[in-house]
Amino acid sequence: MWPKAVTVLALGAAAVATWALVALIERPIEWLAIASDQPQLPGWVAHALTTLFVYYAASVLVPFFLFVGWRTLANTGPTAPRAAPFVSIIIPAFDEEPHIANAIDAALDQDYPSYEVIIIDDGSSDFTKYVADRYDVVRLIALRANLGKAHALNAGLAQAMGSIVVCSDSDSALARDALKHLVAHFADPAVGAMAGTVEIPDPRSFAQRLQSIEYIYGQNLLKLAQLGSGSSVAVCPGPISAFRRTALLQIGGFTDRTLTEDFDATLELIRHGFAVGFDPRAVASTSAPSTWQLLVKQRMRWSRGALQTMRLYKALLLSRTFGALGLFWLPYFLFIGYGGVILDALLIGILPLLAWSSENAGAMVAGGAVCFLALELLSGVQFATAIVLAGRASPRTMCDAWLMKPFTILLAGVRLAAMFREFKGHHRSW
Amino acid sequence: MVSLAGRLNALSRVAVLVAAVVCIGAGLTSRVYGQQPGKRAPLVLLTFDTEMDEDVRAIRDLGVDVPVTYFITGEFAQRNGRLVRQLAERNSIGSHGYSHGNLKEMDRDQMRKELTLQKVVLEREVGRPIRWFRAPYLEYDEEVMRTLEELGFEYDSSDTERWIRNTILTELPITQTSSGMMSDYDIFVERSLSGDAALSYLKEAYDQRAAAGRAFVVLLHPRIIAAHRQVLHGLIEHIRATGAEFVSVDQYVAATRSATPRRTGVWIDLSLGAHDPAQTAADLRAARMDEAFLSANDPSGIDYYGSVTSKLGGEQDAFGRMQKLLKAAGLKVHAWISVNKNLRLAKLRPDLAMHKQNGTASTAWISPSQAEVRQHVLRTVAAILENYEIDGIHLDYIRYPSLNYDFNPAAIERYEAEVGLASVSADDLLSSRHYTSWVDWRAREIASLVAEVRRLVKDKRGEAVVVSAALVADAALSYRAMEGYGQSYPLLAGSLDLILPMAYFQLERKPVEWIADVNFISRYWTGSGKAVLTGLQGYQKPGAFTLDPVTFHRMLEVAAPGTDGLVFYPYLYLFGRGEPSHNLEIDAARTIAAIKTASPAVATVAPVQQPVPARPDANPSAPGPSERSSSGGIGPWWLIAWVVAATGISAGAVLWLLWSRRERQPGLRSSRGGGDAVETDANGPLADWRQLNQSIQLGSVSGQVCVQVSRILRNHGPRGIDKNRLLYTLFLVKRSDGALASFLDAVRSVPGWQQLGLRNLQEATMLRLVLQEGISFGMTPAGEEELQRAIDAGFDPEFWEFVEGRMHETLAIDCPHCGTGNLSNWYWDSFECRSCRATVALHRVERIRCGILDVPADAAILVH
Repeated sequence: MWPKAVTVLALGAAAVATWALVALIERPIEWLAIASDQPQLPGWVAHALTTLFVYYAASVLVPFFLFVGWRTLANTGPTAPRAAPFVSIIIPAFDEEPHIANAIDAALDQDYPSYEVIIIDDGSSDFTKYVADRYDVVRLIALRANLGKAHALNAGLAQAMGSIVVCSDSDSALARDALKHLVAHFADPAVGAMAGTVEIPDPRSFAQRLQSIEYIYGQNLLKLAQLGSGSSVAVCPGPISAFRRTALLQIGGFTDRTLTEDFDATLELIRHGFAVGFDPRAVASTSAPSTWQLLVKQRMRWSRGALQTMRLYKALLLSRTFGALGLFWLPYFLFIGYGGVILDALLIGILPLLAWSSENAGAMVAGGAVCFLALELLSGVQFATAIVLAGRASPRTMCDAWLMKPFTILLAGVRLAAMFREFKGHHRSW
Repeated sequence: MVSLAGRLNALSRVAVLVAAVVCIGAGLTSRVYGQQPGKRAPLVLLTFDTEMDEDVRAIRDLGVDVPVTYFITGEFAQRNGRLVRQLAERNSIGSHGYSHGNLKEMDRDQMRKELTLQKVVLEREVGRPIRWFRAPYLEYDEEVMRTLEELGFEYDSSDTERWIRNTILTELPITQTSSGMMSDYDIFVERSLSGDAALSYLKEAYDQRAAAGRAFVVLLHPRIIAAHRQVLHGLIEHIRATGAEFVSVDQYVAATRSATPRRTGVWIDLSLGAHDPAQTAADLRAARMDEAFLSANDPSGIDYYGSVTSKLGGEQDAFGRMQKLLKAAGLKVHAWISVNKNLRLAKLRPDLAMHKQNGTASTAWISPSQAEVRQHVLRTVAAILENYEIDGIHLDYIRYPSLNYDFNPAAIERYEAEVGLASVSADDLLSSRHYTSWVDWRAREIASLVAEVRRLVKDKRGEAVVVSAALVADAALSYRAMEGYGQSYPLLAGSLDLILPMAYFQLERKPVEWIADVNFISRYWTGSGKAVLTGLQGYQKPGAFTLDPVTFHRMLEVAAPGTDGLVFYPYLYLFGRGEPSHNLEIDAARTIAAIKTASPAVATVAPVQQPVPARPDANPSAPGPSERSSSGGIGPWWLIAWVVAATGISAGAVLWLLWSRRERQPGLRSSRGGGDAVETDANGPLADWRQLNQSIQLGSVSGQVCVQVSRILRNHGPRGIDKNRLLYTLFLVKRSDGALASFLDAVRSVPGWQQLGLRNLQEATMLRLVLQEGISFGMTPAGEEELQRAIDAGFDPEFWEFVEGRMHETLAIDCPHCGTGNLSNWYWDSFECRSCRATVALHRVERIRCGILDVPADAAILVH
């Protein structure tokens, strides 16, 4: 649909826009540098500050325009299955009494002719098992002890009869046509796994609203850009991912060696030569953490898991064998996603320090505010663009898009803590 | 070691070179521009630090017969009370600590004790308050000065001229020229000069100061100078011959403070808002003002005057009209121009702008090292002189914004040429290697520009036009500020007739008494031959400071002694004709007229409350004073930020609108939640599957057929399909008649059943419908019964074979909208086009190709 020339033009325009925006950002920085004109602030400090800001802005903007460009190239592939192979839906559950019925109801209501639903009760201490047991069409596997999600998934995998296995979460609900869209892609034997879209259907708390925007950005922009770049997507999210059963057996199922078994399994499949696709139409609604404490806990697990996984798959990093994934995406996640956090911390840490050490504290604070305002605007425009592209624009989401900068700063803090813990733990384990 | 020695050698060579240049430069300026008509003789201050018992004899031997100053330690005063009382008769007495211990090295309590003791002891011996202090070894810190202030000291003389840093007591620095400090310790102990050399050194330094009309402060120790008595006498004779006056510090203060404001003036800043020229002239005449500093251009580069000749004399020429009226009202009009701050030029020509150390160009400041900048300034001045009958050129912003400027390549080049180095890196200039020579050079660079302006003015109009400048007060009070701004009072004074230090005490967050210090130090720097007009704040700034009438009068009271005039900024607010929030609530005309008539008694003029006329048309965001701190540039950035925000938000809104329009078209949005079954038929009866099967065998069917097949498949639902599959498995078991192999063959012939068959068999076994034990394989009676019941209820194995076949068959459908080929399956009665994203109901499609057997999803071959 998009002529190649349009894409090339768009990428060119993106480069020019990046350049212009960076030039624009440099102005407040210049202003900040004026404010820092104190005898005790040597020239190189001002120099370093400017450089830091420019790199920061560039590290935000260049990928963003690249993503928007790649997104236009994304081909989401077939929309309907060519056949209706038997599918197994595996839902591991641990102490999910309030949500499990919802998850099972949604799984049983699929617009798909032949599938089974397997619930694995991972040694819950509540009534999860009994709720699941009331559905006689559902196969319930009750594990006696809580061995973790990877074990539960493997137990389900061992019982699954379908040639395609769809994994979901007990706190998520698959949309009615999720199976149909996911299965459609397995007609291509190269596909080993498919990721779907995770949504927060009805965000109630403020934390959930911001997360829902983050999800929109991460999936509708980032994942589509991954597809558009001709790469496999890097993660099949827990709430909705489909695997070819034989492929999953070939990699030995899921493992609990990292905190994020989904990321681990995806990369393992990719390493075994399978393609991992993404269908934005296959949707699962999940109940995201509603409080900040829970969110921080969840993100700590994700961040640590991601670091653990990337350490395991460092061979994929910068490896040409895996195309854009190895050459761009994994390095991007590691160096910008996690390395950028250090830059974040530097920026946020340096300003109060400078303000404190400077004679002209008021001007420094004002300069810092201007810089942050510029970065905030960049972030707002990015998220707003992602929301509009995803077709989710509403007054509320458009307003929330402008609050994403503080939110990402919070997440950056969590990532930093995760990195700290990981490196510390890593050394201790040696 | 060799390289270190080499470096030191090079350093000293640079130092000598710089010193030589400074000497020549200073000499030239003093010779060419220092000759002022009506110049008064300079004041000479000999100060003796007296701390040891040998000094008693030395003082007697010296027999100095001019008023001098003794800084005496408490211990010395205790031991030699009589001598001290004797000395105090003619001379000033200051304190020099109690024990002559280093105050910086003492702990707090000890230092306090030391300072308290010395004051008590000295005052008891001398019999009058001690107000002057000189630190032992000239070593002190802020804490010492604070303590002295607490104890009632007012003046200090512990700094040397080049390194003034005391901002707490009023400072009288010790004279220091480029060749060194005027101290007998330096001359005889450190440098061991001979008597003749010392005398000529002192004479030369004195001549230099005398030429500028400036005070000459010498630090002496009786016991050192007594050994070189002839030097001191020689110097005194030399100085007497020139007609200069020897004074003690108290006499110096009296002389300095004796000046009274004989002139008053105002800065008229046309950029603050609309000015009515007639009213302005009337106001200033009523206030009996003498000087008007009228903005000829403003720092943002919007020229009220300048090089834009088309404006001259026309209706647009606000400067010209105002100038004529003021002149007619008897005022001296000075054309006030901004020199180094020029936003317009800096933006237009970034190459002419000042550069920061990191190489970026300033957007406001222009480099004095660029020849074009100098030409621009001179052209502006020349044009003003040609076109208007003005009385003075008033320069503003003759400085650098901070130490971070100016690293313009031209500046570095000129600096290199001066220090004689081939290539100096900008990064090095603030390092200790270059720092002093670099900051000194910057100050001279600024001064030389002012000197050029002066030369031009005097060439064109002679003494009829005076050159004046508004200077940063801090640059006079602290060497750090001087270095940062590159604004050296003594260097600039040579080229200026009037010096206007801007003592905006509230803006600078200083107490009002600070203005007295500004007066005092400005006089020290500029000498007796120049007029110092103190710049005062004539406005208030909402949210920052308010200048109420009482404070205003206090300000006049403090500012009046020791200045030749008071100049207020700006006219508009001073006279209450600007923005009400900025206006002062005083009767400006009366108050200011009173300054000259009853000069020392300014305070007697009562503050008069007067209704301030509202001026709605005045600029609400009027900038503050003419000279603002370098951080004053926040405006443009907020503007940019707001523009970006507005653009972002409006772009978002437009995108959103476009998107919501797009959403109304069918199928363009990614379908979320059950997106199937649009526009299907009503729930009519199911069609006969055998008829449908016949048309399917033809390989091509109509959309209607597809919809009917879909309805048949969906009629069962996933649970029904599961159940029927189990029955069909039972049927296959029965048909294979106890032979597992033939059952497996049968399973394989059903599409997609390789695993399903086994799974269903397993389930049937678990339900005890099928028996599978060792080699025996067959139906249990329960299984037989189950199958029979199902067949009786209408289960048709042939029909189920038809269903299973359809489940694994692919349909090829061309999208009726865009013609793209899509693949789908019988189960769904609609599809979403993979290209145009439209959701198409199958009954709308005329022809659908079918009978394509799907390859099992597990097969490891590619199908296209």
